[in-house]
Amino acid sequence: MSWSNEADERMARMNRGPSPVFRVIDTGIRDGRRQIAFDQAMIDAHQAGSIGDTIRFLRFPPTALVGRHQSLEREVRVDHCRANGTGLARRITGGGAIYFDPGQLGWCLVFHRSTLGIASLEELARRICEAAAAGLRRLGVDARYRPRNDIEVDGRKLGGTGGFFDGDTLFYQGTVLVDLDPRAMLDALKVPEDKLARHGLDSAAGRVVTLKALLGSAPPMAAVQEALLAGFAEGLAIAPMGGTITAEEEALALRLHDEEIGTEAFVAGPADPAAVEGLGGASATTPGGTITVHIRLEGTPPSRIREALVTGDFFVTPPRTILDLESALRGAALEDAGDTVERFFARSGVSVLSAAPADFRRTVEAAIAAARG
Amino acid sequence: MPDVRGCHLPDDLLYDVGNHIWFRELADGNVKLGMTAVATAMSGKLVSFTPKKAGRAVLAGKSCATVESGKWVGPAKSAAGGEIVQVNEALVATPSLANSDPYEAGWLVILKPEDWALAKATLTPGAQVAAAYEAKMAADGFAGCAGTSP
Repeated sequence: MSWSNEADERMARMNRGPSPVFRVIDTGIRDGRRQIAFDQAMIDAHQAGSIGDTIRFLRFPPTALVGRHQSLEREVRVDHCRANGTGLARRITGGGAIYFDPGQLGWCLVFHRSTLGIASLEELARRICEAAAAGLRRLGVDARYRPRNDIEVDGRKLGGTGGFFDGDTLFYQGTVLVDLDPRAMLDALKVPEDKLARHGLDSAAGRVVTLKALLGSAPPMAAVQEALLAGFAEGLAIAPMGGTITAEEEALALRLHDEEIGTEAFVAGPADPAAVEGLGGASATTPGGTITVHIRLEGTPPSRIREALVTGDFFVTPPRTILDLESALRGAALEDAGDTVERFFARSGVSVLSAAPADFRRTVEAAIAAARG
Repeated sequence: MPDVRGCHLPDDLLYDVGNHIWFRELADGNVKLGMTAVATAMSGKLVSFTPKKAGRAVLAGKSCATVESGKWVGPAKSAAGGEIVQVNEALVATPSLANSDPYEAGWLVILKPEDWALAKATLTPGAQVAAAYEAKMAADGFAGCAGTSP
């Protein structure tokens, strides 16, 4: 951030007066569709002016949760979930499918566009993620914000985030992997790692990390909540205050659940006969080793990279470089993907790389061509 | 053309400042909608545009499309109700057109409005929009559009 931005922000903060108060509530472990309905209820109630700015914690029974615009059938092993009692739900926010069980903590902030004095949504997302990461560092883990992959420790994902804007009400949510059963996750979701890589479990598990794995045992959820609240209080200059769920929020959530978010039609999503799988891979043998890239596209027609998986027997130091490359490719426009690879290596600070950046570029572009079909 | 904090706001349009949406009256009685330069500057580069389909009805004040930028998704809301008669397929294919050309190539949908006179009365004409937008930007802490084009 530039000095002038910081100065503007200090001025804005002075103009705002004391730290804005955020009510803190916890909806505990609830059915996934009910939790999502509560998301929408908070947004509606905030827009109506009947609740103020709020931080909410939430948890889920085993649930496969697809993003707002995803195809349920394409993202989730629906039959497996139904047979095993894993819930199915659709978020009101975008992004990819995720698996939730009580080992993950969800958090969300609902607030007025003017509360934090930051108008740029990109900047807001960064500040919220940095505050969450700083909070998690209080637990003794080196959590950092990494654009697109959100909150990570040494390149491995500790939590994801996403936001929803509607008029002057902003809603930003995230997860913390306190504990995780990777087998249950892979059984519930059609993740490309599982589909494409020879060692699906190792590959998927290697890209995420939990507080339990980092600390030796899972910290109590209350401790994780306290850490996050401290991070938000300091990083966003707000004052979290314990509060209660209102009867209006509950009633609104129930109505939204029964009329829309809890219905099979909403969870199944719109039929999308034009949808293509958008999945492809390519390998290149170079003097520095073999590079294999698997790409999953998104958009109709496909216009950007949803996920990239880069594997091979090349040498690279530091080892997190490839995870960072995958992160840099996520969301990249297809026509810009090759340049993204080159820009990434130019800035990455990589010290040893046995294959050339141009080889990575070529393989990524070949994988995109394969995915486009 | 009014220019507020570096954001262009053509004066031949009508504005819903709260929702950052512009309206253009077309000769056939339909209206064209789009996001203002302020909206696209605040949201950053758009990566997805999902309009309601042509033929679908939109209620006044409700969403006619969903837009996504980076980590954020949200509705584009129409102050006018009516039927969607056309969606901008070029924007579906290249969502960042809303950033680079918000008032021409980056339009969202064309609506056959119901009670247009009623909806129009809630909108601010371009010639008068500068003060309303300046107040909105000040309230939101929005510095301006400079340097936000893709």
